[in-house]
Amino acid sequence: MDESDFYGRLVPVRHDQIPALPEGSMTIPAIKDGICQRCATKINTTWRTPTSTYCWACANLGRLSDDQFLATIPEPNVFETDAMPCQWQGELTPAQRRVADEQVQALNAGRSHLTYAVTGAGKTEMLFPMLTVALQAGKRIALVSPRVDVIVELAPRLREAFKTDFVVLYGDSPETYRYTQLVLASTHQLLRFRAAFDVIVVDEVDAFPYAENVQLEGAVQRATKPQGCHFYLTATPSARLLRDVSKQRLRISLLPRRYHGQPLPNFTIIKIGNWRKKLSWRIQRILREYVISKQRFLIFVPHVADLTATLNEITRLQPSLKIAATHAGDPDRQGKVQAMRASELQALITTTILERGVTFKGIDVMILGADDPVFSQAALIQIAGRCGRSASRPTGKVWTGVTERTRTVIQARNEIRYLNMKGKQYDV
Amino acid sequence: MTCELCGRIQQGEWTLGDFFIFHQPQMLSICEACRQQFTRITGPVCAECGCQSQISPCAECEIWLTAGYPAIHNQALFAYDEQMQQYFKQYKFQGGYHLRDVFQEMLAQRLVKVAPTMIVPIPITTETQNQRGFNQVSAWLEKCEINEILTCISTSKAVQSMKTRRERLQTTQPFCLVTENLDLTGQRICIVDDVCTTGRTLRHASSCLYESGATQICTVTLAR
Repeated sequence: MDESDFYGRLVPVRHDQIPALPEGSMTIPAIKDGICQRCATKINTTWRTPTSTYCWACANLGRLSDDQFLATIPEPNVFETDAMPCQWQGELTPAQRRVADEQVQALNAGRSHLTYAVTGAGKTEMLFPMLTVALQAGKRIALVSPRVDVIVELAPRLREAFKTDFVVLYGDSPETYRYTQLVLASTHQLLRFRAAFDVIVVDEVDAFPYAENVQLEGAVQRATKPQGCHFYLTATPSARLLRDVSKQRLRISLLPRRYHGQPLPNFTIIKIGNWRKKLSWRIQRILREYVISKQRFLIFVPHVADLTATLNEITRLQPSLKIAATHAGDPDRQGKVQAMRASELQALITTTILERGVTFKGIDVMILGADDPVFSQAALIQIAGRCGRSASRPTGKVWTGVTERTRTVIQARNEIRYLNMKGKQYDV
Repeated sequence: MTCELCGRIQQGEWTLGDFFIFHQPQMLSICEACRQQFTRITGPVCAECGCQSQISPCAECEIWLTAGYPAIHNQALFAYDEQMQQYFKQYKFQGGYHLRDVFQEMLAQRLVKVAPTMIVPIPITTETQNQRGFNQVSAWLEKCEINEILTCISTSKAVQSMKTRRERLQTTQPFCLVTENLDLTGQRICIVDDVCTTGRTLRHASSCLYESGATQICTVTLAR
């Protein structure tokens, strides 16, 4: 193994491999005092083979047992820094510029920062000035997200915008680890790092499984250097993050306006009764209109079990409609999303898996059973945010079919209304 | 307790009687709903390999038998479907020893029905033992009396599941007895393994035992 593979990493080794480790490496036992040293989980009493104990909480990164050790070399920040790493040609709007400047200030002050920008505000592009400054300063940066889709989508955009070489790491990523200044990864992968990064950017910080997950929050903390700082990006911050802001532990930049300046499409709530039994005539009418207008749209349903039933019902009503259904476990998910993007499909039925991080140009959205507890307020706002993202069609409809007008749905609608009101006070 | 396969929180069912006798309901590491998804092999089966088949022996076993191999009389409990593969991935390949509890009782019940004089699990190589830390078959049979009289000849072998069918069928005898000159005369032996795919491993093990004088051999596998 190369020496650079150990920089700021935790590499599991067996006892007999320790003498062969490169010079300057430190080893710690993998499990100490009943605590896993990689993910800081307390070892359950059942996680025990006849000869050893193991940690099951981080076993999907390769099981660690107490006869193993973790080897690391403190991060030396040795990479060739480019004078002009950013080759992005685009232009930020004045509002985006303001947020980007605030991010650069936070970076220079070494303080953590929350960017609360509505869906479709251009969060990724806003990061570029801060990333450029950090790269020029020779800092090591991780760009992480709990959603693998977000990472997969981000990689080509970054590759275009930056000359800097980077690795993309997630569960079944085709790339193997190598030492780079910039790392693009899922939050789980940070468990393999120790005090490696000066800057960690967490995109979609409120998304499952990062939100309220002690293991992953700890992973981000431990992967950061003592003087390092974090940048959180979200369109729907949790109450906890906002509390950190009000306690002044975290600086915030608010951008309640999309890059094209149009307000966020809000929910059109329609009562559709028992939609699983029979699709309401109002939904049927909307479908008929879509077949004529060729408008593309997404349909969200609460559960995987609802997908096939809804798909069958809609194809029965509108046989000419090109429609497919996809979910988290679908092997052809990427293919269907691509087909939707290329307009080969007119509609896609899906679960909350596509609620964030994906952009289809000029689509409408329909939610069936929006009152189901699966759709949290944040999820609903994210779903509504799929709509009207392109400047060519900055508006759209969010048909929200409910059995009952629940508090969550009403609160989500009020939240969007509030953001739109707030957005009028801000420049584009 | 959270289910290891689907991650949902499972709650034990308490009955009024449980409160009075201070009995705690037993919980397995996999929830009831996930356990239902394993497909049990029912109905007409092939008496030779245990697969679901109208004719017995099935076409595949016919070839083995006409080639002169002794019958193994395999019984399989479950179909080797996606759910089972998921379980094996976590239990065997990721090394989740605590997942052994899911099938312990079912295998024990089946072995009581078979009623052999000796239960022999298929051994694993030293290398696998070091890496995984346990024999996945013996772990299931924790509560049964087992005789680990078989052992692997070489210390390492290519992983069976990575081989093609042809490669599997061409493997040479990988097993030998722990102690030479072990007398197995008059023993009715039941060999236990996790999956039976081609039956090659089981046949190797059974011929090894027949050579030492075993009278009757049958096999039980969790999946087929």
